[in-house]
Amino acid sequence: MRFCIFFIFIFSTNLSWSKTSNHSPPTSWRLEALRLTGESEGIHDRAVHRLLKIPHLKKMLRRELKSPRRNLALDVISSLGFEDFIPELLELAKTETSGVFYLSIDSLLTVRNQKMVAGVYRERLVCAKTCGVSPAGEVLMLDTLAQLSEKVSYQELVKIYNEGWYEVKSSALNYARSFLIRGDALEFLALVASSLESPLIQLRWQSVYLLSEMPASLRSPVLLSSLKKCDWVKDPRTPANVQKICSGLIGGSK
Amino acid sequence: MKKWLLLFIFLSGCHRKQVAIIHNVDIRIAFGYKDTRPTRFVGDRYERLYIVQDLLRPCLQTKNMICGFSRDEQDGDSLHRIFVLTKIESLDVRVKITPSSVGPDDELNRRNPYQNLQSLIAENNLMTGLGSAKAVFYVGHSRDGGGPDFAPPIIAANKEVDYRWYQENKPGIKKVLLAIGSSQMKEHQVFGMMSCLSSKHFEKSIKVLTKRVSFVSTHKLIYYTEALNQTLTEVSKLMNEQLTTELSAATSRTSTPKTFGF
Repeated sequence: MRFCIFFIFIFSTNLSWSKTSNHSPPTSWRLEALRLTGESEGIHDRAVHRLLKIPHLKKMLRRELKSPRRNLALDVISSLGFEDFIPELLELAKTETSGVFYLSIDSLLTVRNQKMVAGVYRERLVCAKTCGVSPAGEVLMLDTLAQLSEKVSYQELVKIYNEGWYEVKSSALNYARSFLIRGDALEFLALVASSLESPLIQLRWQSVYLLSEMPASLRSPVLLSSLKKCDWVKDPRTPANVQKICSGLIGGSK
Repeated sequence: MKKWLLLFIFLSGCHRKQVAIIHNVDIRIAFGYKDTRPTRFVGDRYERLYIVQDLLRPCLQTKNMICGFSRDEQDGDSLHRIFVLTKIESLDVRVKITPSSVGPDDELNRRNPYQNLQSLIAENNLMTGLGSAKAVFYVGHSRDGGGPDFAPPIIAANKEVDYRWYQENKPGIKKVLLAIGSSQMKEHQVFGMMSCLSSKHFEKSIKVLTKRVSFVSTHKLIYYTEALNQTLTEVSKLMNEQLTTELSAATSRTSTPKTFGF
């Protein structure tokens, strides 16, 4: 599984760890679901075995996805690898803000379904603002597309970057980086140039580091001219390392 | 006539410019590096965003103080919310909230040069906060007493986290004790460690060092959602207390209190 099932949201505060350590015979699917995380491999495997024996489990999980126990249900779906839940999870993810459904979907990705999921992610990212996608959802989908090496167009990436929160912008830069360090999608360099002039200091730092990873031959004059405007490196908030790298990049271009 | 009018304005005090007094509350939330070995997934960026989304949401139906913040235009990690206390006094609550990881994949993070800087930024948020902030929260791994930890973990030969190394060296808590010990702060401070068994691992050494710091910790293997919700509860509680104190002090200084903005 690409993403760890540990990252399933359990908001219900009455689900304490003491209950998860109770090894008495199961009384419900929920007890077994609680044993799927934070327990030893043996306990986890026994819980999986017992869950698979529950009649009409999938039907019940589908019902639970719309209940306050959805997080436990997601945990079961991820652990049991119920790939056929993906369409339903994609639908439910539309209106959820924490991103938990996207994490579950990511845990179910296989060679068979990743193209379809990536296509949906791309569509949702491009219309994020109007489609009501939460920033958490945007970051998760961008991260997944980067990991799958699924490419969005430069225009799409710029739109995502321009309309997104700081975290989304940072994730978009990460996305660009995942291609650029392989010498691919050089058009994304323009986004890096734009980030070098962002009012947000962290985006400038991130861009300077990204630029330092690029081969000198790929650092275009446009990019270096953006860098030369970097008077902000004198800002006391800027770490010494960023100043050093920035100076090195400018010096190296002479 | 004009001279008389000017004299009247001067004597009535209407010429005096009202001076805005802003009381600041500095809160730090530093996320540790949340790796999930044996998988490669690292989750602190998403956990941080969960809290940021809550802080930035509009205050419509919420019962706590966790809403209505806005982001600093230059610093993506800094959020703040202003409460109007009186006509001239206000309370500015600033929350600096940093992740430790640069991406969701531990293997890739280790090969990303920016990871070192991000780890340093997160660590600085916590350590400088211990020297000056009203409250500091760490949400991350305890590393079996070697935490807090903001970097990809040291790995043993068996590919697991090298807990023995963390137990022997205790790099994180040493820095924490140094930061608290060298702090010039005289005021009471809240320090929360929302990490597994933090009471067992860290409470004693902090309490021996100072009585100035209220240490918030847990006796159990805390699940990460509990850590997030507990952090939000503590921040909300602190804001409420601070607001009550400042409002009471401000109203005693002026006879015309104004309803504050929440």
